[in-house]
Amino acid sequence: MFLRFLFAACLLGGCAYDGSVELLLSPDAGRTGAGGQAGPHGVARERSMMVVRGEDSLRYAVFWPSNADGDLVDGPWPLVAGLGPGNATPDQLEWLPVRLASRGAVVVMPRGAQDLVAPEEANLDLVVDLVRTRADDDGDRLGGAVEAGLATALGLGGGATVALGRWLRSPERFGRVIALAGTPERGLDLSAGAGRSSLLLVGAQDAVTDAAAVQQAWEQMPEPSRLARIDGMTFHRWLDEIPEAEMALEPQPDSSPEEARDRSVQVMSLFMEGGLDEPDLPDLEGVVLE
Amino acid sequence: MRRALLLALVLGWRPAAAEPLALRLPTGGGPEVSVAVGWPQQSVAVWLADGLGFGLDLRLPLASLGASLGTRLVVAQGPKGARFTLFAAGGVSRTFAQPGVGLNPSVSARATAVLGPTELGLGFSLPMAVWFGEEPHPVQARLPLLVEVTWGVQVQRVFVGLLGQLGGVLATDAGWSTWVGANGFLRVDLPEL
Repeated sequence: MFLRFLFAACLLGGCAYDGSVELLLSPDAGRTGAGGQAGPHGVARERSMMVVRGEDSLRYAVFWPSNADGDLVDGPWPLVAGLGPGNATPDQLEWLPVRLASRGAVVVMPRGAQDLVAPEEANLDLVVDLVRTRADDDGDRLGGAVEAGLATALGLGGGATVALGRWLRSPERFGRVIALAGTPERGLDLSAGAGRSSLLLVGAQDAVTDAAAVQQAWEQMPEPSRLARIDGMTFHRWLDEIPEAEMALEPQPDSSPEEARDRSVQVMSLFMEGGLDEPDLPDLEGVVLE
Repeated sequence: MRRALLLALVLGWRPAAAEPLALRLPTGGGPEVSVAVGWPQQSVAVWLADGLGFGLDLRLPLASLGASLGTRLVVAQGPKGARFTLFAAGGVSRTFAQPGVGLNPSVSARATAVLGPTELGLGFSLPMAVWFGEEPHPVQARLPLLVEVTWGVQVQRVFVGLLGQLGGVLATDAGWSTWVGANGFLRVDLPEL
């Protein structure tokens, strides 16, 4: 009876986060990462749990550049901590950490209770602390994986709101923030972010996010901050496995979702490398940058 | 979004911590077995004597397994069964997400009104926890303050009901967060020994 109960508990989400590693993308030196496409590295993912808030368990997934065996290659890499929107599972946004890791980054994504992000805002801080601790341990599979210094906070939708909040409230952890189709919570003191870089990114065909609100939020962001509108990107194109009924809520652009994702990743990568402010910025087709 | 919010309200917005929840369910005052089922806390308690109960609790998703001892005291009683009860419990738990041991002291109080077979309760609870484990936060403490509402009905030897929780929690590693919980519970009154 007890074993049946434990099995049921597994079904409720515990056993998928058992520390196992899966190779999600094989390395391929022929992939150059040009135009925001996948880079040459393989990508491995570990799903684990950590203890937080006294005794809660926090599920998280960490993605890293890997060889064909799933082992970490090279490094140290920049650290990105990301959140999806509150009403989606991490799997629906998994293409993004895979893409970023293939191009050379370690990405960690906490999974909040019931896949909600707002009630547990500090989760983003906690997974950054954990990855840094593991990276300091040479015996850990993430040993030496991440660069010293500040991480990048990233979020989509409601996750973008949380990421912006943590970026402002945790200056000791986050140097940059990337907000995808999201705005800061109202009443937040944005001046705390002065001197740290932010990128607000929104789809030009996004019918879920209020583009005017994103523009308004960007105008209030402290310097340095950039706003990018991605042609062909809708809100639902950020996510996989969207039901057709939800997809039908937005216009379907002529270009493919992959093109829109490539454009977005290209802008994000340039931002993380500090290249968006370079005078010889490459031609970003389909991107309006402010 | 509405679906997610509804789900959160039904299942509990944020994980209730490993705590001896069943040791503070509405009590009949005698030997009894109480079971609370919710997300993520599953808890069972056995009261063999009025002043001493034993509880087991399992947190999902496979977060921790704990054992506790508790006591309860009716400090005031009205003519129609209305009463004010204090509960206290202490226990230890083993965490699975990362190896570690938690200590779980909790205190709570509840005022109960009796309307025939139905009982309504209003109280507060402080299910605290201190955890000792691994880096990056090897010592963590949690201090919640919850308002709890109970409703239940007695059907012969069985008492079934609902317990709702709302409050805030302060944790050393994560600052403030919200705590919303919902549990169904069942109590079976045992024959006097």
